[in-house]
Amino acid sequence: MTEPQKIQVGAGMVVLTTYGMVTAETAQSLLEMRAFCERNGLRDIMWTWISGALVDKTRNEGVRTFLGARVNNQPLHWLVFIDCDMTFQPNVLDLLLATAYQQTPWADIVGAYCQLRGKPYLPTTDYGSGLWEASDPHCGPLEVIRTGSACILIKRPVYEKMEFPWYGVRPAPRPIDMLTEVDNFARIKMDGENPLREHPAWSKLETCAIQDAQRQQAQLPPNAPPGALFSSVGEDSSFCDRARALGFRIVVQTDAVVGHLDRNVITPDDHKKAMQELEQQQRWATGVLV
Amino acid sequence: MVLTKEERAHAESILDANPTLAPIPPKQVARILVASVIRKPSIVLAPFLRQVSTQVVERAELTFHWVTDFAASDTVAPEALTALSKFCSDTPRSTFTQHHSNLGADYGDGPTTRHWAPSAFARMGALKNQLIQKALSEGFDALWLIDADVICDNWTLQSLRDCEVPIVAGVYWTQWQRPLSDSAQIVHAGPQVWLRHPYQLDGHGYTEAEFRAALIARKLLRVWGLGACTLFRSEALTKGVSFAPVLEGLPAGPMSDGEDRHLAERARRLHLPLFADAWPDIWHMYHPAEYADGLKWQAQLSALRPVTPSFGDLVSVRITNLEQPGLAPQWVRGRLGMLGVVPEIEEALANLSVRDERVVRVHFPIHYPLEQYRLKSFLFHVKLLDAKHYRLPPVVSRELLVGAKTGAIVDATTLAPAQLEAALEEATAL
Repeated sequence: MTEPQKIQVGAGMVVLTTYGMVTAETAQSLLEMRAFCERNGLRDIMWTWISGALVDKTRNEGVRTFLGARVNNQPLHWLVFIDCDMTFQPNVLDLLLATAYQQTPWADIVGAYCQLRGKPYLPTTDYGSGLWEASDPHCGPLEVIRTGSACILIKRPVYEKMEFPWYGVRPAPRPIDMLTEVDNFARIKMDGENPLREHPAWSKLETCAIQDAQRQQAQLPPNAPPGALFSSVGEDSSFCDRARALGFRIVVQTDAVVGHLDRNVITPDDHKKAMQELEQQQRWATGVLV
Repeated sequence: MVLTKEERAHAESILDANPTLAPIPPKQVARILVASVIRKPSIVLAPFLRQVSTQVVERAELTFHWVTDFAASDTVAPEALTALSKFCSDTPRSTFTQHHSNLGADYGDGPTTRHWAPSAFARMGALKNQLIQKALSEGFDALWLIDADVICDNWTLQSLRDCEVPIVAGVYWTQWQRPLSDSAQIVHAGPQVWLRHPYQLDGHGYTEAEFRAALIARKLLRVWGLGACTLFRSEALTKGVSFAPVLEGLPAGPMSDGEDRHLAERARRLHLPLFADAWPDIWHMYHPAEYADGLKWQAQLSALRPVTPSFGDLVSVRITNLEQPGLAPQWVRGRLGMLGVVPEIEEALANLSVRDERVVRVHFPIHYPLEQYRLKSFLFHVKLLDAKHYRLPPVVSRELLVGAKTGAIVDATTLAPAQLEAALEEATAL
């Protein structure tokens, strides 16, 4: 059996992000990961906390710190964000680094496999649909167009090429609103005409946008507040969109599975469900399947 | 030394290279007191007496004791007493006594339902307590307390015994309010077991629809109220369960002072769980307008059953994991081939005759839902308690919409009136 291949990775920074709360589970994961890094020679790492601000400002502060920091008088090569409501295996940093510098060295951004808190607990993997898509863990590194930033490694060139602020929530008007804006802008600038309308793609896009708007309208409850149709792109997806536009590539290392802590109110329904599960287990243990 | 049949079989099995493993059956013959308080006309008594006296039971000796509660004004009394006398002279170990304090004014049949005054509940409770006392003082192993208008199939008592619990009632369904012939009112049948007093069919983890569905599926369930067809094992009686009124703690409402509520509450306080056994077919002769159907039901409830079940027949099964002694057995009821048990057990059942048992080795596959069982094998004891051709329980079957080809069931009580009307029209159109 051959020894695992060791690779040289430059110094980097781990930034833990929180508004103020650090869960016990995250603290435990962090201690174990730190011990793992020490044992395995991962020492050129700066560990820092950014707290007390909303998430986009926190991440921007983290990047600013990262870009200005030096280890052994050398600039840092990579930045890892870990949110303080995550749990992870001790080797998660090792996995992200191995992916970024050995398995898929062409990747500029490497995310872990992380799920959203709300049902159906989709993983933050977008393979090209513009939506979070259901996918399995433990399938190795997979290229995506977007992923979340709860546990993610970003290489330095991404931040150097992208303009400040790197992170920010982006309003997401409906396609019909954007087409209307472009149409209006074109007529203002082009003597009252929108030459793009002469292109066959325009009417096709407009038809799609109208259908999309009608579908959204139909799904709204009658008492929906004004503005219910407007949404926004989160700071992490927006960051991915900008990185992709600059030519950077993103993968999700689905072997790096991290947990997302949630809180819930225990209700009588939970008691009922738990009792039913107990009874079900007894039936299974007696060969009864239903 | 002379060996019994079982001992000889056991001795011979020692040399058998491929023995059939089975526990040696116990030899004890249980003494069971079958008892009732009776105030019914002979047209009701005839099928009742016939059915209780033809129960098919295993290693049990039945003793019958009736207490009559006729009022002086009851014109049906002489004929009923004659029928009882004849039964007692024809049937070994059967007796009856007459109770004379009923003034006849606290109970009666109305056009749609029965009417009870509190004094009737109290008198009924006291008389039933006398029957409990008789069972205790004469050392019976069990007491089957059954109302005189409850017509059971011939395997009811054995099914109650097979449940192996201190207190269990056979379940039947009754239209407690009988719709008048010129009424368009929808009246649903209800069981005589409930989850919350005085008569709530939801709670303890069930919605009403779930509870009804479980009973229709003939399951053995824990309940918090029961009556009228109840088997008490002696340990429950010895522990002190009775119909004596509890002083407080019962919610108000119709029937809240019924003696069965007091018994259920007493059992709860004694930590005696109550169970409902929905396996038997039982018809409640509740409405005088239906008395004429007694013979028809008697014939149906006595119909012969398959010795060995075929695919689709109803089976009642007890399954025990022999290698997990701390695990309670499971009582499974359903249609053979669709039971929802592991394949080895289902296949074994198809080769068993009723009351047969065998040990089955089950191999749990890699995808088995219980993780600790995956890729392991365990020995299970399987007993086919009973089998019968598929049919729905009496009375409630009237309000189930049943798919003609699949047998799929929709309980009419779970639909809004407009939905039910539409469903019936659509079914007619088919």
